[in-house]
Amino acid sequence: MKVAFISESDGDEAALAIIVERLLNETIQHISLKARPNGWPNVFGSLAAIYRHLYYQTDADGLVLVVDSDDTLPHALEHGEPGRQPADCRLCLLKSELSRLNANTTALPNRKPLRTAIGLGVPSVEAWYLAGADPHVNEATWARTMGQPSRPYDRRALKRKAYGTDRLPARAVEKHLIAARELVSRLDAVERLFPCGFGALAADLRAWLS
Amino acid sequence: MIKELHFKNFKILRDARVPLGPMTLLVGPNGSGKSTVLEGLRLLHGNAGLDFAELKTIGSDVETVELSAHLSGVDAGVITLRQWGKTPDKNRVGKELVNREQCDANRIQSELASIRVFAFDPRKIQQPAHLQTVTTLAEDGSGLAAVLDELSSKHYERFDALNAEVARWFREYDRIMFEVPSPGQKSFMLRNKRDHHAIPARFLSHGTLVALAILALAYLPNPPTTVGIEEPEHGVHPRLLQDIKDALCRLAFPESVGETRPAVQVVATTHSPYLLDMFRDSPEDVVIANRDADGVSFNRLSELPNIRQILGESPPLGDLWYSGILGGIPAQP
Repeated sequence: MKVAFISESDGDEAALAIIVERLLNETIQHISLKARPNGWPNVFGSLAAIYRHLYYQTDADGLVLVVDSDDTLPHALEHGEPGRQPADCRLCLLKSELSRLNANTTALPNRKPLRTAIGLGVPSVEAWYLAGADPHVNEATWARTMGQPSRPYDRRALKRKAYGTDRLPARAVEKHLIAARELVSRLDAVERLFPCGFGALAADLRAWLS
Repeated sequence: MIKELHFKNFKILRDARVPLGPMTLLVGPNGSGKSTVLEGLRLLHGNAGLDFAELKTIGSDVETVELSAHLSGVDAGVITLRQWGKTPDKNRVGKELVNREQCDANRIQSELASIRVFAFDPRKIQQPAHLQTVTTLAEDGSGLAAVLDELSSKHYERFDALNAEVARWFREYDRIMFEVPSPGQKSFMLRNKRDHHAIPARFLSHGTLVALAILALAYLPNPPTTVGIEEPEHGVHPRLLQDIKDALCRLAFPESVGETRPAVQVVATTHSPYLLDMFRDSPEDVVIANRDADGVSFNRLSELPNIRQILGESPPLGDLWYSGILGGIPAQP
């Protein structure tokens, strides 16, 4: 299966490839995108162009998108209910945009639709790496402390815990790979502690298999 | 580490305090004093060679130009350089150390002497270096060939790591090589990955030369204690700016990449919104220069009111700066 990734860094992308392979239980061929959107506004703004590039100009089977929630509203299961989709949930925004793109893309003969999977790091992907290892790090804690002046951790603290530094070069991949290899050994815990951000990604990928 | 520079009657900076951290990116309009801050660092180093008439704020009748460096860490204290203009025998800038607290003056002198400010000039970077006379990277980047040669002959592991980065940064090249244009001189070349032809430095693009100089600086075994860099993005493709930023971070935060040498304080100026974008997660690294009728002021981005909320859902940091919301833009007509 040929899969392209959109994420925050080269390191995240390399780590995601490991996680996706484990969730799909098969080896994937990584399609490297020439463009790497920088930050959320850029990801959202360039998604249409990247989606169409993958569909029309490559033989990619799937696109995996993983973004950080930062300080925005984390995804919640009830967002899927009619009329309850908030305007500021990044996962919902991406899902809605991908649905629109899928509906508006003129189908090519003999070209299967591009499969997509979306994950949301709450507040960042590094939280997944700490799932189970640090009892304070989980989606529920983050959601419960939204809007409070003092929170139990922030993105930089998560980076320090996950990589030993919050200044890891964006191109460095080794520490991400180590973290991802540890993560896939406890996928159940990650899915349990991050049911919406990581759970959504896992559910999307399992749907690819069916 | 220098935690603050305080300028008085120093060119455009009549009375300006510049907060500095381990890594500082100075942004602001032309003529807002960013380069003057680097000039202050040069002066602390001691090789500026400027005189009073050139330093004092134009149009003022002041008699004293002053620059104070507030140091933190084990040598916490204040170093002040003063120049009295009307004293004939002191017409050159002299370094007057006014050390108000107990600290090791010799060590401070040695640290100040190690400050380097770079304004890389591709035409100088590409020039052959005299091996016997040039051992350090000059302000304009000349001597890079000698610096690289020394790395290759005395610090093999660093040179190998540097070559690995060269291959990653530039894609079409995979190794630094050398030639001897004339006895006692060396110049460098980059080996083409595809056919292994070596491209002499004089044929390399300006952006490649500047990027290579910054990369080499980041891999020195004993870099200066403080490094100022004028517009590191000069001539560099925007896609390479992430690597430039990572090289600066390698200097400032060596432990983050497993380096064991002491940290280098980095002060860089920029006009690139793309480079600024990469500092979104560390707003404490960004200092914005604002110029108005009252003069120039410098503010750390992280200390602007409600900056976290502003950054939260905003466009990229560079766009935000360009919009003017953060300040640091040319005055409106």
